[in-house]
Amino acid sequence: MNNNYSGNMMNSRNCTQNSRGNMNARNNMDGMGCMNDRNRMDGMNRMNRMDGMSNMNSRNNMNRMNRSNMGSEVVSDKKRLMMNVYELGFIMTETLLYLDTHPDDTEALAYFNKMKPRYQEAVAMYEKHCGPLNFTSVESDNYWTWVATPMPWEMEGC
Amino acid sequence: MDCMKSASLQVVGMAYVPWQRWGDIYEPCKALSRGTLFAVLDKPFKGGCR
Repeated sequence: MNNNYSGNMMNSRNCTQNSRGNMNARNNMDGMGCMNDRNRMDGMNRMNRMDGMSNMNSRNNMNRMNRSNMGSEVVSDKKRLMMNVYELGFIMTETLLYLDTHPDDTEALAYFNKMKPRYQEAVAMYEKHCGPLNFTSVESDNYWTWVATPMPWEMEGC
Repeated sequence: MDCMKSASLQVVGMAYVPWQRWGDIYEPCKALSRGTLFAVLDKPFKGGCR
């Protein structure tokens, strides 16, 4: 295509991520990363330990297996949400680069208008479950949520 | 735009790139994995070590 990245929708996020990298690493050392999901995971682990103290019947074993699987499901769901953002963000970028050189292409404009809400929906879904991707999505009353959740590349912290 | 449509205006010693047309686009997941939305621009690297 061309080298004009001035309108790159993903750029602002990537730049912001990079500039935020150190802050987030410090945050993880403080043990505050991904508070919501970490708490949820801790809760599941505590429940497993309680199961272990009670009599080990097959029902408890099944419960424990289901709960331990939930942790990996949460992570894989987050990966899927992130992948949706990556995929749709990429095609939005490709389309807008094409439109930079073909501004009157009605087919490309129609595709852009069709995919834009899908991209916005993917971002909204990610941010709802995993935290803000852009500072414009931070809505903080009493805690700076930007540092309360892991960066998108830190899925292992969830 | 005429210079893009008419090969007769092209001169020797200059490189020309055909004008891209919209069409034949990939699904989002394939586009990301292929590195382009457009099938016409999907040019996998064929070189490398032998």
